[in-house]
Amino acid sequence: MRKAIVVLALVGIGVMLIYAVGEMPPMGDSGNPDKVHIAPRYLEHGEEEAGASNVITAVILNYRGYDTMGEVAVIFCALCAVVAILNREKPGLSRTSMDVSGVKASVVVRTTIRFLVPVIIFFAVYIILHGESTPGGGFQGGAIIGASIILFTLAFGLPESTRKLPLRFRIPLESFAVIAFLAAGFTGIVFGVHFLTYLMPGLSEYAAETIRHIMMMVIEIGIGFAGGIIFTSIMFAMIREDQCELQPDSP
Amino acid sequence: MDWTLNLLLLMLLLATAISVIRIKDLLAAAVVFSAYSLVMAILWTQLRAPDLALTEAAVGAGVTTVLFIITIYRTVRKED
Amino acid sequence: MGSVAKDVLTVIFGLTGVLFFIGGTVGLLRCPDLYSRLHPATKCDTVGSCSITIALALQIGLDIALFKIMVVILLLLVTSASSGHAIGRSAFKTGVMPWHKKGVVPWPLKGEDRWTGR
Repeated sequence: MRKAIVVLALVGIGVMLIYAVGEMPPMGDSGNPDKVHIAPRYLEHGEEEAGASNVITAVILNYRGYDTMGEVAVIFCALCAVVAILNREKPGLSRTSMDVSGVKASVVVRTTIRFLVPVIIFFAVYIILHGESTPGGGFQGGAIIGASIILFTLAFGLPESTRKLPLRFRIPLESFAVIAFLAAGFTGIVFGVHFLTYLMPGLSEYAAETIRHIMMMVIEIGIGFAGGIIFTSIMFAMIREDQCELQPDSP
Repeated sequence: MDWTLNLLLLMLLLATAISVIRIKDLLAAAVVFSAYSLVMAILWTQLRAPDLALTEAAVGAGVTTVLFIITIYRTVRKED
Repeated sequence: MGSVAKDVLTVIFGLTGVLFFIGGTVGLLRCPDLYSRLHPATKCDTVGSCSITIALALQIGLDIALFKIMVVILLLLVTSASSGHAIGRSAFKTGVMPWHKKGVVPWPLKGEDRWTGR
């Protein structure tokens, strides 16, 4: 009985959805509202209005800056939730079960990863810094940085990577993206224009362009490095196991 | 010629998506989900969205899979 | 190098890659256990992908993309070989049994019964 009701409801919703799809304008039609108003504006005026030759970056950082700021805050909130539940790793005490098992990663794997991690981080930095003119940007580069540190941790163990990236180095960097966005936003308010305006009034054209460029660069770098460090911290919090938690801390 | 590759990729996408739901072994499901992300990344490049393809490949196939595998390792592997 | 020779080389490299990929897939489906499956899988990764990328590089000619393809080939060679090594080694260390006939121990052991399956 219940199943029949569920099936009937689903069929009803499906029929309504199919009917609504029939009412919609054809997909990819050049007369659709999104292709008439928004897309030509972005494509024609994106570079001068938003200051980035890659239209995607212009849209993400400028036209829809609030959206991106919310996204960055969401990632930061995810980190906060994970750390609130699982806690940070303890220096010198946290292990993973791979470290405890006693089987070390072989020399081949270690050498390969020692060769690969700098290459991956180099690629990520290229993606972050070149996001204005080529595909890519802060978030993608940050994910790649996080992946490279995950790779390092899998081969060399948690103690080694927490020694390389200690908490006092990670905690300031985690909030760097949100802080960079807010700083850029409030710079606009200080100059007397709206929140998240990159083009400052009352300056010469050259100075305003330069300031806009620097601000977008800072935000991109902030998103990139903060994203990477946030991924790393979430992974460290999830992977750690404190075998000797009940023992007193040794100095 | 262009649409044959797209059709193949879409069919592969459907197959991986359905098998992610059907597989009871969670570790295998995580691995298949990573394959789903890779197919999706190729489809994004076919749709001329390289930014999204980069994100999908790095986050979907890389980071999320590792987080899933860590979670499965710390909990249980079999569903039910 | 003439364009005809280039095209012929491209076809040869591409066909080699496709052949290795088909062999790798068939081997992956047909082989009985993890160790023998690793063998076609890593061949397919290294030789197949590399020859297809070489075919692409031949078609591109002198360009900045050629350098990128060189880097891709280098990374493919390094990563797939070492990941195959890592999978095989960890399977061996955690005691995954290789395929064998009933009652036949796969290789001589040093007093451990994990390889006999009991």
